Amino acid sequence: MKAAQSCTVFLLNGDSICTTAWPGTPLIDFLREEKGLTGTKEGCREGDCGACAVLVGEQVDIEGTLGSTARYRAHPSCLMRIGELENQHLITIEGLRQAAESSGLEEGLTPVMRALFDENASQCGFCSPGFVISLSAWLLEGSPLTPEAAVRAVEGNLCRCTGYSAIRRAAAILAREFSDLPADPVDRIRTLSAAGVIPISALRFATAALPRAPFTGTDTDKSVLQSISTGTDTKKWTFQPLSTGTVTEKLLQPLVLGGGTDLSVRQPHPEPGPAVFFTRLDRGLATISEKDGSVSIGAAVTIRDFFGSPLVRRSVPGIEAFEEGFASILIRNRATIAGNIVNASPVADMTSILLALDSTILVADASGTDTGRSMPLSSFFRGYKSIALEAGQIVTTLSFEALGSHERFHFAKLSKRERLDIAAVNSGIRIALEAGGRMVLSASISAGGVAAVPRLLPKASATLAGAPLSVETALAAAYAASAEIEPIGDVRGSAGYRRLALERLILSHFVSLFPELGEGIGAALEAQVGSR
Amino acid sequence: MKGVPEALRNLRGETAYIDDLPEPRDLLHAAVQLSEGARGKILSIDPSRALALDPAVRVVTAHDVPGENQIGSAVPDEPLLPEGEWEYWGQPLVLCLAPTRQLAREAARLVTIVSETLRPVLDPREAAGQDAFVMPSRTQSMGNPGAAFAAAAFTAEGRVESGGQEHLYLETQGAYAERRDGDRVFVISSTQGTTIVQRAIARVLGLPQSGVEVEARRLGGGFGGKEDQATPWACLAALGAWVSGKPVKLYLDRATDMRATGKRHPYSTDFRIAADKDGRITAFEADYYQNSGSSCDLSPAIMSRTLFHAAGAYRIPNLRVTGRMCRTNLPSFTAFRGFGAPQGYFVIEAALDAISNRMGFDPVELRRRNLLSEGDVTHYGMPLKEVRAIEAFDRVLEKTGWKALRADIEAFNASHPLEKRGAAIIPNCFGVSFTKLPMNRGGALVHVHADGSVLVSTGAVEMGQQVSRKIARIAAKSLGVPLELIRVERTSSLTVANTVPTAASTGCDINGAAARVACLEIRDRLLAHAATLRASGPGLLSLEEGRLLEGSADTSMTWKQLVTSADESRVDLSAHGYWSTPGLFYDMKTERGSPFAYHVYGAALVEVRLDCLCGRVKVERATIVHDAGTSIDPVVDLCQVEGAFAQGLGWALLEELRFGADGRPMSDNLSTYKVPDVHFLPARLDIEFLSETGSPASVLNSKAIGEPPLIYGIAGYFALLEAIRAARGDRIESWDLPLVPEKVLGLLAGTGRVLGQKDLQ
Ligand SMILES: Cc1cc2nc3c(=O)[nH]c(=O)nc-3n(C[C@H](O)[C@H](O)[C@H](O)COP(=O)(O)OP(=O)(O)OC[C@H]3O[C@@H](n4cnc5c(N)ncnc54)[C@H](O)[C@@H]3O)c2cc1C
Ligand code: FES
Ligand code: FES
Repeated sequence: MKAAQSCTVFLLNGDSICTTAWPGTPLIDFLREEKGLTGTKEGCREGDCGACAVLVGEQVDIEGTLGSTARYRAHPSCLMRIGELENQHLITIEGLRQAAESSGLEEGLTPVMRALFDENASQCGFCSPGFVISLSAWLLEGSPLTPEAAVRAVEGNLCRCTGYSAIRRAAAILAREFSDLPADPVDRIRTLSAAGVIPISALRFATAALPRAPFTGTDTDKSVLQSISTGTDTKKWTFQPLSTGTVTEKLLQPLVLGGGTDLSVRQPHPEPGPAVFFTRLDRGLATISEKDGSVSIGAAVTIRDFFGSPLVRRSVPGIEAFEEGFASILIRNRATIAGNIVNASPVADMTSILLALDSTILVADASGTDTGRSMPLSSFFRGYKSIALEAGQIVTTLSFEALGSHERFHFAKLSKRERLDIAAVNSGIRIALEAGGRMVLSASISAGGVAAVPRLLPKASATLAGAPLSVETALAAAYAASAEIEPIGDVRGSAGYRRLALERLILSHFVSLFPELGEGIGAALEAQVGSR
Repeated sequence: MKGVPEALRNLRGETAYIDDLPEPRDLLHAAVQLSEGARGKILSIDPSRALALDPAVRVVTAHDVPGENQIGSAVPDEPLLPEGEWEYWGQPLVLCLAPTRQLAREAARLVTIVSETLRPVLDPREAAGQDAFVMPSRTQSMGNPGAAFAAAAFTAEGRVESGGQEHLYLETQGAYAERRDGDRVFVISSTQGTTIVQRAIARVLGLPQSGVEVEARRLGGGFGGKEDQATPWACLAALGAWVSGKPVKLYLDRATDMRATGKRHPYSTDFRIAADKDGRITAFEADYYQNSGSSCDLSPAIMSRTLFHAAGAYRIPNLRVTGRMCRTNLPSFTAFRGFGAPQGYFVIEAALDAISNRMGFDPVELRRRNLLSEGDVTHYGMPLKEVRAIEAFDRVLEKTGWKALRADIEAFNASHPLEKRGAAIIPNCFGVSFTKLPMNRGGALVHVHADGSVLVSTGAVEMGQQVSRKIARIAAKSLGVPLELIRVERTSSLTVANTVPTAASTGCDINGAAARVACLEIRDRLLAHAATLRASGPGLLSLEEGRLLEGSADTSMTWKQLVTSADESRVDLSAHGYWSTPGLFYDMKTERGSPFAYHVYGAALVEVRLDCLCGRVKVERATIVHDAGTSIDPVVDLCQVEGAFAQGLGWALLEELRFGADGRPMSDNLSTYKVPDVHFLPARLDIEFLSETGSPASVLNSKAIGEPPLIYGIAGYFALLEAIRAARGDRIESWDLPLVPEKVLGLLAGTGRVLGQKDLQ
């Protein structure tokens, strides 16, 4: 494959774009400065406010099948780089406005804008384009149109003016208006573009068979996108999926980027120049598969896709419950598994989950075409922000054994704000019970925010092996955990809080997995207060 | 419900905020270097590395200021760019100009500043110990607190802490400036007050105010943060334009904004409270230590509001409250929705909490028993009229079925060892007017065009509070024309001069009233003209929804015909309106007077659910009963209550402003400073307005809406405290706001903690 990057080709609203700008250019700057599309706002440039949200359409594989389909999701443009848009469809607020106008909708409002308008959900208005994008994505995604789902759809959008009540009301209107959207993604796109929610170009994009290979920038790519933008017939294409084997070529490239939700925050104004390897554009890195009970997660699998995967859900029953604790939907749509690990933050949630699952990490290096080194994830972390990855190496896969019928998994975190907040402390547990369910066979407990690295808690885990499943056992594990950590204090929590929080999180694992212990643990807490 | 037209453009992504304005080709971007240290002295500034970056780079320092290097409005303690010492971590020290923003920021980083660090003072009590005040202390009193305490059946005392709060307007601070015709400047500022900015620029550039044109378009939020503190950025942009002769834009990134600008004042307060055996509060004393930050800014006015609201919505016959405005080396704390009242409220509510514990009295009943009623006189000597504190409180009790709810909560708590619910109700009595009396005035310019369309300009700045909508309604009503004919323009020093900032919830009251004055004047001229046309007495004629009526009968004449005819007959169809709020007076020596046009009443219940194991909190619901007078626009008012409540709740339970022991800002981005998100706020939020009555003091009998509902968030604090008490089985006292999860878990575990091993550090 050629690393020719003369041109990044994508569809911007209704226009095909072929830009020679550095692929690492922050998308928000490209939109606002180069294209004059100032409807996309910058509120923070760190993924935390959603004012910069845009819709991104891409062709994705359908897990477990050979097919692919078009999918639109909302992303924060402040963390994106233009190179990753190769062959994708980018819709900004201006594109939605065009949709309303060409559908002849009153006052140029799409139905989403209309609902927000009718409920007076825009005060100062700075956040409004972002909310419009997120709610449009909500309609596009095919999740149930419940109030809970609406709230989830806008959880990454901050509004300082409205207090969100009006936004909830607007979502309720939309849920009624679009109560019978088709389940099939392409049919849904058809319905929504007919209703003026999204531009007609989205339907053309969804029905064109586009290659997913990155960095081609060829004339053929360009002509397909142009045909979409002009509405003429498109050629049908078969694509060449990249395999992990081609990774080597990219290792020569200096900047490895997953979702950019760490890197772009650290480099808000990157110095143009280096070639960029967008892991998410590599199909070989974005798959989830299973072999002999071992589940393999590609490095570029996003947090959203990880929790959404039927295979993952089957392998770790109940794991989907922990998705919402991770950032916001805008971030989950981008953030990758490998990015979470390589960033080596002591409070990384996905890392904590994968540690407790006793995962193995696979690293490929530049020297060979084979799959490279593998090691237990726990030995990947060497010290604060220091990892077992050399320059020129990348993480390709994480794998773990699916849970057996006698095994359970739980994860919990504590943060200042319940949602969209980095943990002060987190913890996961994988616990195996003997057949009768009365005794613990073995357990693996992880903890984040209590050391320089995310880690396992071998001592606390050991207290559980062979212990009866009881309140005393839970308390002993919590106590052992507290004794084997040396947390430090920072803005997210004092050292004392972290110690206490970890104890409580470990107790909460037991209360959640074995509700019958709840009362006893409650009594233990009350006895403690009583003894004061 | 139907939207507000201004919102159309927002939703379509067409509203242009400062950074969205088209950029002229020769635009220079500006950036600042901020101080890295809470207190220091500049020894030298070397621009060479910045200048080496690009020939177009320009470095601007204090020496380039042509006029006075001073922007402090009350006290001259704010140099635009410091020449010697700087006073807080994050203070702008130099300004750099360059053709791109990237280059300007890089240049600002590269200016070498040699400095000496000095020891900062961060704690207001420490500052007070050193007599470091931004203004002399102030005391208000009534009755004889000493004697009342001596005679009291119950007394309680305690210390109350409340933290600062970042505004987090989504549009950061910024300004665009041009030097025009050599001798004047034009500035677009994201400010709540065009005149404040105009005056400061005139001072800094040594120009007459008439040579400084300032306009404010729609702001992406303000909340008080752009009242006095939009000024430095507008002045810097103007200075840049002045020295370079080129247009200059200064737009802060989020971290710079959060480091450099002031926030809500943190307070530390000691109180004492007394009650008789029947649960009547007999005396209250408080000493407020306001952390004013590095400069005076609006601190005295904010303290003034704290003192006025010291007794909350309660009748307290004997009282003494003292406010100390302590100078520290933190960003200059400033106006934030509520303006000192929330801090005062939190203290009095804590005091009631304390005394109810001491008495073993139900806190809700104790609060109710002491509410203000008709004819009560405040501690500053103002008799209260149309008092609705009890009415609102009782309505909340009724709406929530309080007795049953309380029993339900108790039953739930008894059967749930790991989860507790808690609820609290607090009342509201909020005085409306600027506490600085000369500021209670508004101005408007109204043009009726010959085609009948109407253009209204006022001093009110639109920042999302939808004041333009209200003013349009007032104008339509006053002229007797359909709303669609009214257009409310941006705020500009060309149309209305000598404005006051859009603040203190008075934006509509005073500017709407001024617009009404102008509209009525034009209407009267039109009716006089109509009377000559119809040979009728002007007293018989009126305008309604664009039709001319004679008595109650429709004449065939429309508004448009009347206007066209009047224009042809050379009737002046423009008018300037001026309003000064009547009846206000205050004697600072005796601390007695009538500083408010009226008070706003209300009450709120907040209920929370607490996870006793991990200290997680979910606000389950809130019920608010609020007095909006005769609302000019009920939709706008409802949404204002919702937004203000969210900010109040955020202040009470979530938003934690942190500084290091060295004064370093620690919560200076959105990842470390958390504001309410959609999950944080309760899905069950029930808001009801009290029935309309005539409050003659304000325009069309409406009442101000911006700030008062923020107070309701405080109920969240006490609701959570009740849940924690239910978990602990005692009545632990802690008034340290915000009550974030870390503090909650600390209170739940106490010193014993569940496993009883190591103490919290
Ligand atoms: C608003 C916000 C909220 C967040 N909330 C959470 C949260 O709740 N919990 C949490 O754990 N994290 C959170 N994060 C952090 C971040 O989202 C995660 O760590 C995320 O998983 C990082 O993945 P990424 O793909 O975006 O990483 P990137 O930023 O793309 O990359 C991070 C690092 O990993 C390297 N890298 C990426 N992929 C590979 C690879 N395959 N091989 C080798 N190196 C690679 C990059 O070069 C870079 O150095 C949040 C971030 C933001 C901005
Ligand atoms: S600007 Fe805030 S999320 Fe992108
Ligand atoms: S309307 Fe102002 S931030 Fe949402």
